[in-house]
Amino acid sequence: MKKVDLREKVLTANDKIARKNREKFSETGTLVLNLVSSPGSGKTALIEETVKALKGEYKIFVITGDLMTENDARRVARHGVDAVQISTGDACHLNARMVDARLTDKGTLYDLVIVENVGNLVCPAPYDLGEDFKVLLVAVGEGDDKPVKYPPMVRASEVLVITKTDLVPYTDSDPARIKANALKIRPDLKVFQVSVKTPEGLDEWTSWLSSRLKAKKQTAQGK
Amino acid sequence: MHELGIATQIVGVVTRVKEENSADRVGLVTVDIGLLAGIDRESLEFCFEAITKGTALEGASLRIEEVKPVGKCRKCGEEYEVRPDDFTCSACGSTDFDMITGSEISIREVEIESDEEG
Ligand SMILES: Nc1nc2c(ncn2[C@@H]2O[C@H](COP(=O)(O)OP(=O)(O)OP(=O)(O)O)[C@@H](O)[C@H]2O)c(=O)[nH]1
Ligand SMILES: [Mg+2]
Ligand SMILES: [Zn+2]
Ligand SMILES: [Zn+2]
Repeated sequence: MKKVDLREKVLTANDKIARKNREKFSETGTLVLNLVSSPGSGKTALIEETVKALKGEYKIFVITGDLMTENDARRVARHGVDAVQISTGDACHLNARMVDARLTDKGTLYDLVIVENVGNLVCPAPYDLGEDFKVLLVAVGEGDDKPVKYPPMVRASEVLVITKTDLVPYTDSDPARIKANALKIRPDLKVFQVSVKTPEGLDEWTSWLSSRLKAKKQTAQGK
Repeated sequence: MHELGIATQIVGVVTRVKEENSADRVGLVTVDIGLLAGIDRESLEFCFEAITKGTALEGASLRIEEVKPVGKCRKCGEEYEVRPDDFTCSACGSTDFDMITGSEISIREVEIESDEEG
């Protein structure tokens, strides 16, 4: 038996495409978000509110990932922005190749690309899509200890959005507790609390996003 | 969950190594899996066996080396073992750290055998 020393990262192929995506987007100053959460935490709902608020000022492209159906892309497209669905069949996460294939070269024509990952609190964590950052959503009522139960996803995210805060009166859930649990895992998380119904916190979220969009554009133009 | 995808990628790399070295058989494949990589050991072993059966890699076996998570404290610089349920720095009590090891999925070594070598 001969031993071949490899030390090869298994995700290398994915990481290469992700890096290529990221380079492309940094040239044009396109901000790319990767939204991750359990199924049903409100990713598509947040995207709908975000595009409603920002589509006047920015060109937005949305990619939604699910195992089946085009429902989410349809929900987003009715707000008049470009949206495509990735139906993964049986894959539990998106990878950089899928995103690259949907965007091709037109991705760079947009100011903001929002990728909605497959609803799954485990598998999307190690897959870099070339995004600027992952946004983790945890909904009121899905269990305030979710962040400490699923630490890799919290570690991988830069932003936490606590969703469905209008449901607080009907549950024993406390957004402050969700936040404290998440900060135990990652103290530098940027945290928002929103509801698409009331609509608490949406302004704060969209103006912060808008400032990140401007910052990214400026960095690109400074090159 | 996505252990099948990971197993498929491992098989892809191992097949490439086998062909590059014109080997006839593959023995032990050693992989390093970080304990915070989100990979379930048993499912990965199961998937590897399932997809190599009846192929040119039949008989290859997977050895999984678990890598303990080590973090470097952003406050005091201490390097310490990060427990999945407790991220506190052993020196200063902060929980703000950069991950050094523990999230990796990598192939360390592949054993190959060729008939003509005897
Ligand atoms: N009360 C309330 N319900 C919400 C809110 N946001 C989303 N929902 C509801 O929660 C359900 C799931 O929302 P989606 O936006 O489809 O969640 P998702 O994360 O995109 O779900 P998947 O794509 O299936 O993972 C829907 O019935 C939404 O109407 C909110 O702020 N308040
Ligand atoms: Mg959705
Ligand atoms: Zn999975
Ligand atoms: Zn410390």
